[in-house]
Amino acid sequence: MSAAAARALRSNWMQFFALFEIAAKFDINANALAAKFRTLQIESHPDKFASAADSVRRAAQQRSALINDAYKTLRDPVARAAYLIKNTCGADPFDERNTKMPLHFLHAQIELREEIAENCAAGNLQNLAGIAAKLEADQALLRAKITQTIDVNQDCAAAIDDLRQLRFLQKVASEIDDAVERLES
Amino acid sequence: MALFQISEPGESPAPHEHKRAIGIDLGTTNSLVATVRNSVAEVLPDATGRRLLPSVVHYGARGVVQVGDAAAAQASADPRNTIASVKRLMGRSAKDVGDAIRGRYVLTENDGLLRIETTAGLRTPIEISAEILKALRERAEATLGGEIFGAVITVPAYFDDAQRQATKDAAKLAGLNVLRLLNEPTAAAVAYGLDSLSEGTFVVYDLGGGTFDVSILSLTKGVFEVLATAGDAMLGGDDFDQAIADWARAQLGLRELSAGQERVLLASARRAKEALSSAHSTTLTFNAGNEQRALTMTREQFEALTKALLERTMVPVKRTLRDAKLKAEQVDGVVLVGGSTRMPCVKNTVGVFFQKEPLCTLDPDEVVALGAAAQANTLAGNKSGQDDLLLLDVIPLSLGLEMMGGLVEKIIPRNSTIPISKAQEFTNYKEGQSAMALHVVQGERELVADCRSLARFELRGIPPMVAGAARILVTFQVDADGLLSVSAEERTCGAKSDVIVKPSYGLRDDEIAAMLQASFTQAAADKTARALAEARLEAQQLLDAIAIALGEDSELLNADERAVIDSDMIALQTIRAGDDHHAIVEATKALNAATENFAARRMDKTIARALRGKNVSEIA
Repeated sequence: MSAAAARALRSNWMQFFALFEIAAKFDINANALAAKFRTLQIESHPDKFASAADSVRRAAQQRSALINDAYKTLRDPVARAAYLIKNTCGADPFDERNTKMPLHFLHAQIELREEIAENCAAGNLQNLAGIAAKLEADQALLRAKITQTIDVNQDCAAAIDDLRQLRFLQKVASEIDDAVERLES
Repeated sequence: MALFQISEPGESPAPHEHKRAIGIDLGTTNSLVATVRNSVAEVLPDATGRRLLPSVVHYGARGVVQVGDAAAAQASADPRNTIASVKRLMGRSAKDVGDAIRGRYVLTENDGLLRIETTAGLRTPIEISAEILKALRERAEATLGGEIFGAVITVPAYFDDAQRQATKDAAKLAGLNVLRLLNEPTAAAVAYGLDSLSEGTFVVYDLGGGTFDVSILSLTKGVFEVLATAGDAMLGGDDFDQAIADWARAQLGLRELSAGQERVLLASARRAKEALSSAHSTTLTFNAGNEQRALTMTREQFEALTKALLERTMVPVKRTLRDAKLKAEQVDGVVLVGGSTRMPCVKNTVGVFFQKEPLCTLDPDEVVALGAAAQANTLAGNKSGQDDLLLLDVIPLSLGLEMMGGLVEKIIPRNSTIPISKAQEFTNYKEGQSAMALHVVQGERELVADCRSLARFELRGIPPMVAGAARILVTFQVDADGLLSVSAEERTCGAKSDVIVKPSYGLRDDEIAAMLQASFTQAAADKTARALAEARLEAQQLLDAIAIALGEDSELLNADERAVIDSDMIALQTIRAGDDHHAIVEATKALNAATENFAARRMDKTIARALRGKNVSEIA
């Protein structure tokens, strides 16, 4: 993407939602998003212009890359919420200077990490799978909360707190994945 | 009727405009070429019916280059000039290459580019691969009767940027128009997708000779989307052979085998493995010294020996499922690719894990080339919109930049759908810094030292600014072939720098151009040399024939006629010694003309002799 394209992208806020022709909301239909993604790629992918002039192919590549970027952002709840918050409140939810986390959440996380470490040391894959399932349920709850804070209340500050917790849980889940892989090999 | 042939937009306008498009599976051990004819993808055999071309190149005396079986036949007599498994060297530096290969060839390294010493001179892996591709291109041209419009070439999904770039360079060098580099598992899925045209989620399990990889794809409404890919570049069928060989060595109490004996043992291990794919037990023989030793091995024994290897393949399988956020039971089909998947234990293990019978109706050695041919046909525009498949591949390894302290900042994470571009802003860490060095790396590790270095370049002309004031936008762009280009721009002043990522382990564009030019010049020189040899041969044959005729029938010529012929013969002999094949051809024609009457009289004389003493009825 050229710098000009990058600027255009920023000036046209919510371009990703516009590209997929859906309302700029946190609560979206994942299946409809995936279907629209396929339609857009069929129209724009450079393979559809394999014999066309270089300039046409370059344009197709840029558009196809933009569609991929938009899809990647919109289908992931954390990236989608961050995109919405950035564009509606102008705030960066992952600003490194913001280290605020509710105390009860942090306590729960410390306990969770100890539990994961113990089960990794013991090689207990079944318990790890149980923790992963619980994490998934916690994330679902947070997603429901974010739908409320962003789509209904339009409360950026609350949304940022929820989103930071969601990202935290997402990272822990991927750490469990890595731990499971190490135990399996 | 031509007036009525109106086609829809996007459809090919006329059937006779079918473009010759091919799919090439450029393999470590064997390579194949396939095409779509009459809507069916098929592998193209050579003139003697062989479908697999061994990926072996032999450089012989006087610049003779042989590829395939002919080259492989030279392996024992001339091992240094017989290059096998060159795919393992593509996009690699000397330090990446294992001891086995280093011991086999004489390697040199210049500007980070590996070269092999051969009797024909130093050859890069790119040039050697180009010979294989050229042989396949020529096979396709001979079979399809004309120039090839374009090719889809497959690469392993785990190939990094340097390896992909090397493959594309080899194709250019072989005179091929690359329509697309396609990941091998994606190609295999296409072959089955076209076969069954069922929608759903597929796992492609590809166990080759030396590598293993696995991909998960979903096929929905004509779009094949790679969801995740993973692999083990150090695990393949060869490891199964090694397991048998180790077992046999222990059973027979063999110690201290020579390198040659080791190879013989491995070869018989391999035969035993292959036999056990159909038989329940086999005999493994080995010549130790003067003694012929034999061992019986059952399939159960083999499977117990290799159980750990099979389990290792399931680690990347589970990884891809997690990455794709899928459970094993949500997978609709499992495709087996690679000769090593012929082992019944592979089919069983995979079948049990996914709770369904793996698909193996297509030949596991051919399925990748068939899928590549289908995609080449689509990209060449030979098909009308409806049955086109769109393939959305991913990059297998994360791309990033070196940060201070030798840490990697990932710009594009692995498994990102391509094409993709990502921009990220960086700043100066020192006041008045006028340039910024960018080091592009690929890999999953945190430290630069553990990742593959792809390229280094500099952004210059940054005006003096306090630390942290510069806004340097670095953009990574990956095209549909998985090839990366990087640009950097200082946004307050507009200083710019671009790099197509390739210098570290590849050929520069001007080097490729020079090699191409050399090969054209070489081809032209070869053609001239052949024409000259043919002209000389023809001239000599004519001179010899006339000399014999003059010896037999000189009385048929008067003195003047004889003088003309003699002078023309001397002229031709002189010109024949020169290098101008046109002049030789002309002089040969002149001598032919000068002796026409002489030849006619000799013919008359021969006929007269034949007719002498025979009556009219006998002649009629």
